[in-house]
Amino acid sequence: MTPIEAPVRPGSPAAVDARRWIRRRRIAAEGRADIGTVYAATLAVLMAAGLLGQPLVRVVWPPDPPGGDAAVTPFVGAAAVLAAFFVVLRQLGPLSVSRSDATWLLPAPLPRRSLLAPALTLTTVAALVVGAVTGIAVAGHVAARPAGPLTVAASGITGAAVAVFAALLALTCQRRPSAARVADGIGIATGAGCLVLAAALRVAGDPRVPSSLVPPVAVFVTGAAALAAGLIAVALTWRALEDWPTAPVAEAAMNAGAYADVVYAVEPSYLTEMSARRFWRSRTRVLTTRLLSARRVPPFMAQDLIILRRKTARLWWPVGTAAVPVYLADGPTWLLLGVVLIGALAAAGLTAESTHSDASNPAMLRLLGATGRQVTAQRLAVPAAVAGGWLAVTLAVLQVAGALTGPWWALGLLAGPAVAVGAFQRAKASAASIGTILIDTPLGAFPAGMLLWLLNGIDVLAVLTLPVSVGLVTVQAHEALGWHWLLAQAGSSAVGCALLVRRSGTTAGSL
Amino acid sequence: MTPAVDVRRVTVTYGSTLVLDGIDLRVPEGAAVALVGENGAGKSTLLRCITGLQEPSAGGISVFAAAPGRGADFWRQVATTVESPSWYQGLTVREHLELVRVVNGGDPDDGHIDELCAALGLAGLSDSLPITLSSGQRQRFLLAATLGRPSRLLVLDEPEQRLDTGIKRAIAAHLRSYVESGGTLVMASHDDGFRCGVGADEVVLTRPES
Repeated sequence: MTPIEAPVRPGSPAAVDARRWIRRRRIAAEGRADIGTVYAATLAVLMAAGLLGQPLVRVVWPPDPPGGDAAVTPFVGAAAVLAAFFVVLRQLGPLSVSRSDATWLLPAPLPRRSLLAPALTLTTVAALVVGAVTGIAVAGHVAARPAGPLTVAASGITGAAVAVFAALLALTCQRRPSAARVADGIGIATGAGCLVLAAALRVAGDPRVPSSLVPPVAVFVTGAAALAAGLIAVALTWRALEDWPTAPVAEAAMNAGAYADVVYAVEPSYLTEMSARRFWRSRTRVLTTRLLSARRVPPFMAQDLIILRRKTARLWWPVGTAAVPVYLADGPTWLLLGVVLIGALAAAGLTAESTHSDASNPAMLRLLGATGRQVTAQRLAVPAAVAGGWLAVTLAVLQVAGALTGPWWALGLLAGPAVAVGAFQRAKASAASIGTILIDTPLGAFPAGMLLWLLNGIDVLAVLTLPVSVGLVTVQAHEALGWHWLLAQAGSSAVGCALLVRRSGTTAGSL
Repeated sequence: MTPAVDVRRVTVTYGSTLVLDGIDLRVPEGAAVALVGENGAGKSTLLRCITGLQEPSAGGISVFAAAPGRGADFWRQVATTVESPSWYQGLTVREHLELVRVVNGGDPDDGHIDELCAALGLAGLSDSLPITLSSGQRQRFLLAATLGRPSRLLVLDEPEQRLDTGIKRAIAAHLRSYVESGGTLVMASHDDGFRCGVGADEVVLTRPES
């Protein structure tokens, strides 16, 4: 047997580019990229550019010139896009490595800078592109035509500078978890707040800012200075990469790996679990409430109320999305209908983790000795109230915008329990139950996870909220909603809840 | 008198591997039994069969004169730790213990939870979320949830696992008093000192091929 080598004093890290070494070995073993894969990827990119290129250009730079002074809404929209960019960067890391690099290279005595520099470069380039496009889009919606190159350059550079600072903030948050929670909250609140503000501007009228208020030269000079400062800060970050802590990079690698799995396996359902684990692990200052021990509310309802209270930071999204249907009031009815129902389903899903957890591992249900019926009946109450509230607010906002007339808010409230039934069905389907189903296609077996995940619960929702759907499609904007619609929705919600509870398990350990 | 647990000629196979071969076991109500044996002897498998979480390939099992694992009534009488651990995201340790007690018709303010938390060293972890606990702390939390609810039969899979010596002693004392007050205990254990502390009778399982 070979003796175990005695420990030695660690020397200075060898100047080996481990990634290049691994790449060479991989090429030696598997050969270079398959020409067929390169062809398919190039074709996909060209097709996407051909299909989406023109519509995207039209969104960024509309062919019709904006009339008069600059409107405020494009600036609010740009703030929402950059807030979303910050949130996405925080979800991905932004400094991350592949899962195998995290296992083999991150704990190795290798220069940290060479390991993390690609992620930093990618983050910076992404910030420059997203920021520049957003800035140019703002100019496209507010600048008088013909817009000179100075206007375009000033807006693009300023947008890029703001996005680079957003990326730097995301990098700082990754290094300092204590600052991250506050910054994440502000990012989400900004995004949601911008959506609400844009909807309010749409309803109340968009105020105008005189175009001559800030000359393009001043914007250009300020933007260029800010961009230069931002890029210097990125360079300083690159220099500091050697001392970058390991834990946040390892966690980001785990998350990025999970996202890659979702894309590879076309199975997004377990993202919910990962996101929930991440959220609760980072929660601090949690204090036990008296809601359960006081026994004034049924226990599973109390559980949902506690979860809802602790998710206050996440309530910004439902608040923000309640404003989205206002943008679609003049668009196709099917799109408005889809957004209203899916938004309500998402709001009802805020407390769905417990049901998902019980469906995938019923050990707690057995320990509790509670029947599926007891659990189901109690767990419908809070989502019904949340979804009903969300629908009532959304439909009332549409009413204020002049798209609807009559007691639509009441119809929304009554549809809440029906949406809760759909959300419950959706939460019950665990990754294990839907992820393993394969559909045979002429191109080979296709994992049905994505398809089933998307449709799961929507079928129930579509049937039980028929009065809302039919009402939105058939009742004209100036025509008041009749009370018979409310009766129909109340009946549908009651039948849906009764059927769900009746069909639930009468034994402990099954929902 | 009808035994609390009656295992009759139970055989379990995983594919071509024979795990349990015609096992017989009778545990009277108010008794404590510890299954001992090397890894792979079938201790956890037998416990899973007793709780009805696994169907034996042959033979029969009854718990309190009924087939195990059926209906809410069974789970109101039987508490177990043989399943992979589970908890609710977002509820604190204390809220889990209160939920278990409230749903089982107990009073969460009767001092029982405080007593358990003190004995199992969980008093300082009341406001913690289970996801933030270490594996040893999680084991104590799950044991507290299992012991905190009323039951007639406890089925525990290596309850001494990952526990400090002091906590092990507290758990052993708690299990002993559970049995003395009329409860029945069936557990698997690798720790002879712990088994003696509980006062459980030893039932040795051996791998069928040996």
